Amino acid sequence: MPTLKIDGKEITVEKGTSVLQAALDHGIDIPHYCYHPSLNIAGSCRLCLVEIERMPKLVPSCATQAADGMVVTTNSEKVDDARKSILEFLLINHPLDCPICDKAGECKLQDYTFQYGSAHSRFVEDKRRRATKDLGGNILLYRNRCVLCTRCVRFYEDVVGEPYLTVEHRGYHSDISIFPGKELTHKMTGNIVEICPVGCLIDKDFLFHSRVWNLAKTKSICPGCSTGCNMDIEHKDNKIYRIRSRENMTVNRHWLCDYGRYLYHQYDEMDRFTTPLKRTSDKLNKSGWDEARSIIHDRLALLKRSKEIGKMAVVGSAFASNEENYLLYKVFHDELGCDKFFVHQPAIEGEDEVFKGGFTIHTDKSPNQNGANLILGKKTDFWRAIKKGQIDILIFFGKDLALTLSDQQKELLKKLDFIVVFDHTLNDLAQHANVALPVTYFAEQDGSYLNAGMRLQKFQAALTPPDQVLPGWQILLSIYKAFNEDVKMVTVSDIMNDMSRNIKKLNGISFFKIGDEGVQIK
Amino acid sequence: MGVKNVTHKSRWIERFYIPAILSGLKITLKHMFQKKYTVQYPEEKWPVPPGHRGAIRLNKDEEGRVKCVACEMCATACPAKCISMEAGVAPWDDREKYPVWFKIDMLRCILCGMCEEACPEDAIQLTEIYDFSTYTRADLIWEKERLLKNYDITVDGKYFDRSREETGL
Ligand code: SF4
Ligand code: SF4
Ligand code: SF4
Ligand code: SF4
Ligand code: FES
Repeated sequence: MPTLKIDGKEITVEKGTSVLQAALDHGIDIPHYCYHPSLNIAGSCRLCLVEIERMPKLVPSCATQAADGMVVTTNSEKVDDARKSILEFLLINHPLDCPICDKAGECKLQDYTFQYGSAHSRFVEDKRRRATKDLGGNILLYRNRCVLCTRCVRFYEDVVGEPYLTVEHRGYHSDISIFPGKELTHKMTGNIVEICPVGCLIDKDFLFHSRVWNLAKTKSICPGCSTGCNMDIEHKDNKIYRIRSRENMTVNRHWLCDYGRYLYHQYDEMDRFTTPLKRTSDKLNKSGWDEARSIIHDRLALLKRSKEIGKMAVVGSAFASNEENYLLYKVFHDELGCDKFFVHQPAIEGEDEVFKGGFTIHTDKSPNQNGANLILGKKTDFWRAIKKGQIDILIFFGKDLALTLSDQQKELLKKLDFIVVFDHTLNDLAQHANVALPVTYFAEQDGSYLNAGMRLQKFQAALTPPDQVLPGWQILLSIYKAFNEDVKMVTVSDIMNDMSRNIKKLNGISFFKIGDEGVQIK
Repeated sequence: MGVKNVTHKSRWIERFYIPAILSGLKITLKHMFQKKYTVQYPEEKWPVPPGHRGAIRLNKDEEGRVKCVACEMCATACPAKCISMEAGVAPWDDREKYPVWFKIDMLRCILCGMCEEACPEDAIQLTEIYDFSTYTRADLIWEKERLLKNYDITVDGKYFDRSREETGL
């Protein structure tokens, strides 16, 4: 393993690491545009030039491997001078667009010019003007703002494996362009907006919606499929403005697919019920938490006394967090003695999509199938049990926005005696409920998921739920406490601790230990 | 520290009070013939010094459109956090971004002028208007329309020559 000195700091790195990455990993900032840890090296922007002892000229640190005994200087006068000149070149044709540019505030051209550039322009000639292009899909190309780092071009080549963009013409006339006949509607497209270091590639979905420094960030996990991509929810005034990827080199590296990126709109727009509902004759009417809880409690207490608990089925969900599924088990198994547990999961069709750079989009469109199976067991076919007449009472935890039922299934539900549903909307199943309870979706609650690769990851609440909506775990916890006064759990973290004591595979894991990048479960 | 008692014995002439009254009258008399500083507001208006920071206006461009591009620099710089707006795609061909709505809470504004300082477009300015008290609080939440109107009535520097009716405030 080579040991080198950067700005007087001794650093030991893996063989093959670039000088730039070595510096970045050790808190030394070298400005750069074209370099990106998940893309091939281009070495074209020349902003990362550094001085290395016994090398005659400045060298690009992104394209130079760290070697033993190297002595690197990143802040000498010569380096500063080179940086300044490169930035001045880039600014020659760059418009003064910051006030109307969505990238302002997180733009590398702004940052570097402020840090390393010059405060005054010597350029008196007219700037080159190029019209903004619509590249299809959600993408606008503000050609005037491009610094030609080719990150976007390489993203399609290296990560997606199918070229969409290219650099047209050469030298001064270079211009990012899309291959004829193509549109940027590819599933992975949203990522290029994130990796573009300037405001050249802009997302129409966010266009002018907010200045980026006004948004708060909350760490979350994408509920869009069992990949479980790490992401940041960016929100303001209890509303989500955009979703951006959060680096996790073992799960999603730097990427999100567009399905996950824009999924929050579906939750935003869903027609949800926001108070508990109870059935009177054939209609569902508004109720309150006290009443809903007492209806459920009375019914369950009766069941417990009559020893007919075998007639009850509890269906957890691959869309629910581990804590919610676990509490279902605690309440209905430990307290009431129910033994028929199932997991609701979406129908899985086709094959997982794996891209050139290794990123996978799973066909399992639920985030927590592994977690639900681990906690509740792998049974999914509760319809058969209903058909056989083994079930009178159904507790159903949904949260699946795509849930629909066949006519036959609807008929089967009519045979049941008592149905409790935890969900967001009055879907086909919730319509048949005796009591329907409004629960939060992923952005409104804390929790954890176990992804397809058995990685346990946590997500946090970004929004306050509307009206009387409550997190599923809170509702279950209060039902639990009504049956058992000794229950001391209060937070999601307490539930997680209890769970890791009782489930062998999760041994010793706590909410705190999961950290931002998750932990691997064997 | 001890307490020191001081006694003052008035002379008989002082106890007579007439000299004191006379000296007071003398000062009054002197001022009657001097230059007067009192401004007979509202018949007469206070002459505003240049650079006075009064009510805020939103400037217009040559074509009479709001000059603001909704960059939120003013809102970011404002120490009282009283500016809010929503940006949108401009309805004009030659401009991209504009404020769909723009609001200043003048109840909170401290007239510091930071917004004017921060604006990259010279779109927001403090004016000579100091007489903008209202009967209700709601009237001091100013929307884009009111702020643009402030521009119309101050742009020629003759705000104080206008009558109340003429300004329409
Ligand atoms: S559009 Fe952005 S990412 Fe692509 S080359 Fe230009 S600056 Fe780089
Ligand atoms: S791949 Fe799956 S987890 Fe990742 S962003 Fe897309 S839907 Fe979300
Ligand atoms: S004058 Fe000061 S307090 Fe008033 S809006 Fe401007 S920045 Fe805010
Ligand atoms: S700083 Fe100027 S241009 Fe920007 S939002 Fe405020 S008034 Fe408009
Ligand atoms: S980052 Fe090294 S040349 Fe661009």
